[in-house]
Amino acid sequence: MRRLGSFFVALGALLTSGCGHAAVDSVKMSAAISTSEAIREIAERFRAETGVTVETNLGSSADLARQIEQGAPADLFLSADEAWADYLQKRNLVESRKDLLSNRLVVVTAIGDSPKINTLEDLGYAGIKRLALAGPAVPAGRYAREALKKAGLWDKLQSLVLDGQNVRAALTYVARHEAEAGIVYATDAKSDPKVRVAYLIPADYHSPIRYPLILLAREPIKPSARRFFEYVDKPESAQMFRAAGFGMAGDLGRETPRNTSNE
Amino acid sequence: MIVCTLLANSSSSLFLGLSVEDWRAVELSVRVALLAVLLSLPLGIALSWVLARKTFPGKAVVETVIALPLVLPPVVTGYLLLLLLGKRGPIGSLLYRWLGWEIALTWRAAVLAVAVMGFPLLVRAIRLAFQAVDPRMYQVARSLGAGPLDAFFTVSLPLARNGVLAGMVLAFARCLGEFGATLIFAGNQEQTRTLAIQIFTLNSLPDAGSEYRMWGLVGISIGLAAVALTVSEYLERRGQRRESA
Repeated sequence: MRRLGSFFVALGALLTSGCGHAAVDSVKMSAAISTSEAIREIAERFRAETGVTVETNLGSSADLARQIEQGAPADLFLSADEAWADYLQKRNLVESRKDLLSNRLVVVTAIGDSPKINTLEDLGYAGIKRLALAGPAVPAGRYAREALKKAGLWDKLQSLVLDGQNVRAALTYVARHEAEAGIVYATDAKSDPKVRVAYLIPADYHSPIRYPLILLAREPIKPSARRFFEYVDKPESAQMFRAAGFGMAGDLGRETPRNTSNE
Repeated sequence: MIVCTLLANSSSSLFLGLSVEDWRAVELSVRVALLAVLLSLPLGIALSWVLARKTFPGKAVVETVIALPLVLPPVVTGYLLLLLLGKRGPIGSLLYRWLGWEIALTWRAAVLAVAVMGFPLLVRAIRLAFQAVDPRMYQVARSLGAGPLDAFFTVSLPLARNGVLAGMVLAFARCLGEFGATLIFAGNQEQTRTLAIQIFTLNSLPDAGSEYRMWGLVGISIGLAAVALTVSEYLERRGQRRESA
């Protein structure tokens, strides 16, 4: 009996001894999942140049914003729409903010499947049984619903919509032939060889797709976080974003990026 | 269906604070759970009886496999179902090519997912019920000339009926509350948005109205589960009293 007791004490000690801790001066960045590959590459370059690790937390901007509101220890947040950035701003969590990226919306189908889709309207006729979109609160899902409503197709297609937790989940549904078509970002389509772009949705069918980058208000703000906030705007980083298919906010003719501080 | 006619004129209006979609989710969950329990009943009763009465090599394996959905993370069960029965899975692709049946990511997947999750509870309760029935009753019936199926249906099963009902109600409650496996295997879409998935979806929306509706559905969830558990407990106790008489 005593041996059993000491076994449990030892087990308890083992389980409660934390192993591994974040690097001392690491930066935590929550980024919209559509920027996965580009952000990871840029973070890697940043680490090579400065020695500072940027830990990326990827997900839908909706999930990430809610995590941050609930106290997640992020230093930076790259949102895929203004709405989730505004959400945090309204709650006084934003130190600094600027528009960073732009994107386009596309209809994708799986390679080897290819229902005949040449326009948005074709979605209603091409034998689509399931249309993969990101969920209604996710930026990609919102933009997609805007586009379908503008095209007058929402009522018809609503019952076919298969919600993905984020835009990459929607992309995966199409890649795995679980949905015959999906609406995702042009950059997502580019990132997955199993999927092809069937149609590029005209930009005026939805609100402009802008990705604000936010430096979150913290006591104190890490200098390396401020550094990364500037780093993602540099020409080398811009090159990586463009290679993934993103547009840079500067390209849209906006002279001054929004730098709204905490009010 | 009933719900839809009641609210036919008002697409965005609320009934008791919940919208059409919310009530549809409740109705869908009930329908899916009922169908799942009814469809798993024959196999459930048969397996329970075999496990209660017979021994055979590999019995432990059968018991383990049946109990797996109780212990595996539900999303794992969902992924396994998707792997086997998806359009490109070993069984799913055959079903699709030969019969045109699509199971994964349809309402059928919702029924199957909840049925699989509830099955261990069904078998557990029914097996206990059969174990509590004196096997001599069945033997007496047989010795009096009844065939094996006849004896089972007219003697063994009726004697175990309270336990069978308890198992059905318990499995029904589990099916009602199922989330993870359904989400993975059936997806989050209009035809499969059951109660728990609707709660999950409402939770992801930032507006206050959705939050209120979410809590309403949570309340309904708890209420349904509490009622089902109470009924199941009562039936089980009644069964035990009866069978020991």
